[in-house]
Amino acid sequence: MKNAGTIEIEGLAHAYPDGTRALNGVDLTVQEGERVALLGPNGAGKSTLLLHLNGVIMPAQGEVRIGGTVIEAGTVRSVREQVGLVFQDPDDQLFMATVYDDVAFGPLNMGLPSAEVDARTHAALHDVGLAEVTSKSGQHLSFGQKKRVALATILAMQPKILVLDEPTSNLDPRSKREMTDLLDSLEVTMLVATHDMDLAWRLCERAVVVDEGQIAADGTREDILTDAGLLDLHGLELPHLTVHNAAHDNLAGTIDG
Amino acid sequence: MSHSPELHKHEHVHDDEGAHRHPHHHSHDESKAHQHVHTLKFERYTYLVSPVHAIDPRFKIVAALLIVVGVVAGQPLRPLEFIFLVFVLAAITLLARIPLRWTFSRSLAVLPVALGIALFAPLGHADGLSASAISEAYSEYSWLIWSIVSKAWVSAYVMLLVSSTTPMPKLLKALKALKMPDVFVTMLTFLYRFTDVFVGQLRSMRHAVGSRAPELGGWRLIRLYGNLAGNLFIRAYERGERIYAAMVSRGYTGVLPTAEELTARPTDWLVVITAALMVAVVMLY
Amino acid sequence: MHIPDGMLSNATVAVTGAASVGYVGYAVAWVRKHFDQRKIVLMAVTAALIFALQMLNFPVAGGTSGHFAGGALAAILLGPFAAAIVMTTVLMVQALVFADGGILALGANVLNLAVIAPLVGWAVWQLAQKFSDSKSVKITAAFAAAWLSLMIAATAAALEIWISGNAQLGMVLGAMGGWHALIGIGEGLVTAGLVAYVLQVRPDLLDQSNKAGNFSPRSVAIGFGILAFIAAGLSFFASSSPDGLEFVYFEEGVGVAFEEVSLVSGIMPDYMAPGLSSDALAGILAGVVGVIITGVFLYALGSAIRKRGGEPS
Repeated sequence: MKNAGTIEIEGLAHAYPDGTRALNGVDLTVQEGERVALLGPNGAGKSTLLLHLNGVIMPAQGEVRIGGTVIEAGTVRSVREQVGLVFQDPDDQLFMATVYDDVAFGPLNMGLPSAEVDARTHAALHDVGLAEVTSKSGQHLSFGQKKRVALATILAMQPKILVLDEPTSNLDPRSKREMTDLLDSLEVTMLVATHDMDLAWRLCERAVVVDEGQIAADGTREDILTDAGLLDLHGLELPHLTVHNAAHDNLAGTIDG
Repeated sequence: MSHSPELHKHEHVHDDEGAHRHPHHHSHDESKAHQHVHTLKFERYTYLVSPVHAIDPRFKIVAALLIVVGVVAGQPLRPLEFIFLVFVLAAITLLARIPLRWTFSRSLAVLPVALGIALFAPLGHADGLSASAISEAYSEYSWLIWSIVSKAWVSAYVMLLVSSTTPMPKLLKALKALKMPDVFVTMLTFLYRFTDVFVGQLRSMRHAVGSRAPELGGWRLIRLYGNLAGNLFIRAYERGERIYAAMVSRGYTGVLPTAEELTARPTDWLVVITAALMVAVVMLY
Repeated sequence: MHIPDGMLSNATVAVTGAASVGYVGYAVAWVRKHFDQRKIVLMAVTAALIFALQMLNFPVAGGTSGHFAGGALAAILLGPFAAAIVMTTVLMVQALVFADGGILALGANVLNLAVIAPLVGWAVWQLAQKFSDSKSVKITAAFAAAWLSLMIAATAAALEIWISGNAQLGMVLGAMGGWHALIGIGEGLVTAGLVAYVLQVRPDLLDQSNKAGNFSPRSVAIGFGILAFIAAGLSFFASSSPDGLEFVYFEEGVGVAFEEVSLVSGIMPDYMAPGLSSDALAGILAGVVGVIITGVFLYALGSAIRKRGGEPS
């Protein structure tokens, strides 16, 4: 697969059962290794868009290509090994009897030998800082721990592309920082749907604004995340970091994450 | 290299790093991030380290079933047999490092129903319901009361021993190994994992109702519970859809995969054989 | 209520156990064939939900409380076969972890609460659907389905205990019936409340499960048939070869008295079928015949109504 970690979305459209258009012709390309923040008000269609990226929803119109391969019934299985989708609610992703089983679920379904499964599971849990909870079950964990385990369930599959839906929502400030640092340490193509503007700023060099099922803006973080007018138009606000730093420095290029 | 169960055991005796004294509130309200780890009530002692906990759960289940079938299907327990059994069960409980009072009080749950029926059982053999017929029935069949209650209790206690010395995930693996159909294993896994979430949601809805309509009682309240249940059902349904999406995202093929395999040791066989012998002794003697 | 161990005779345990295994086995096969993975996940969350609902106690009379069972609800939401699996799961956990219901008695408890209760609830629900599309009819039907399911399950339990020689028939029927008539109101209200809410907010969910439940009457007839066949077969076996333990009973004085009682026709002469030496067996057969007749009746009624409504089967 050439350029395995690329996403190409062309003319994507999708409607809800009641007829309203969730996505109204979306075109987006993400290069290998890029980190893109997906911004937009609730109901803009962000989650629907994300669910197209690993074939959970198949396009009604348009096409999605992962590493050049079109997502369709025949390719969906291998696409899911390339694209790891982390959902917003960790309780939806921890459904096995133990944390170990949850994290091993992906590698086991990939058909890997048990030694490999074991190694990956321990490594993923270690990477998210939760090596010691293997025998616990989802309901035993705090919310922050659950979020991290949910990430581990995907990391164990070693995808080339990581797609995240609100990775820091409902986390306390310290957990937010930990999650941000954790994501920052990963070397994969990343697409992050988020309301957390600070996360977007620190993690991603590019930002895309989705509103009413379409791409409203697409640019560098400097262009998008400092444009108060643009953000306000789409129901968003400035990252605290930029507001703070702008008061001291001039905007262009001196702001660090 | 198959995954060794030893990796999951901890050095210290009590490893659930958060069994608190405070009353559990399982409100998995998404807006709260509560810090501590907690176990469900019945799991309190399942993560201990003891010879009883270490028995391969498949063998534990089989041994328990042997004892239960032997005691319940056999004749009524004679006093000596019963005392012997109580002694053995107490010994196992102590060996498992579980407080006797805890298991004993939980086993008492069986008594109300058992007694309720048992006390009137002799009447099943009465020749009509005249005073003389009744007293005759009771003088001849009072042993029936004892038989029912003692059997009910022994059965309950033995199974409680199994479930309180085996972590649920291991129990599920054992059931799967004992050829329980996949669909049941899936049901049980989800039951274990999500009941708590739903109970918490129900509880917080109940509190919301309680604070807004404290006067509501009786049948009206029960109707309201129905509405709450409806709300919960819809949310559960939608959660089910999301869980399914998460499962297929990770390659789910229709069968829940298992990692850790259970390995039997010679001691486990010994346990089953001992149970069988004990049952034979009780039944034949 | 969940029957604990020790109060059902070995014959009753065997018969109810076989009937349950047969029916639930069929249900597993049916679900495997007709339910996709998405539906099975739905079944699983429904099981967890019903289990959670069971933790809600409601006060019945003077300090005692009952709890929700959920057989009819499960059948309304998922159809009788999936409901059987859901309820069996719940019963297993209750027996194993909460000392609620015996292990040998599991066969009887499954028969009553996972087989009979959902079937009755589902039948009432389906019948009401045929008669009317109105919301209030459906809600009332949900109530009736739940109440009846409990009543009939309780009757079955009472019969099982009586057949085992551990209760006086009139008393146990009255006690179980009375108690569950009261608890049934709570069950009915919760079930009706849930159905009312779902009809309001997501009626498509109920329609969807209706489709799952609206399958060929053939499947249901097969379900009933297996039940009846196994029960009948085992009764036949029991009558033609002596129960090994019964022999042991003979050796003990206690056993002799017990034997005499089982053989004596005095207890319920009306139920004795000609040619049988034990009225306990006659009781079992009567129950089996009752199941068959009820099943055939419901099936006939269902198809007659469906034909009249002109709906495709």
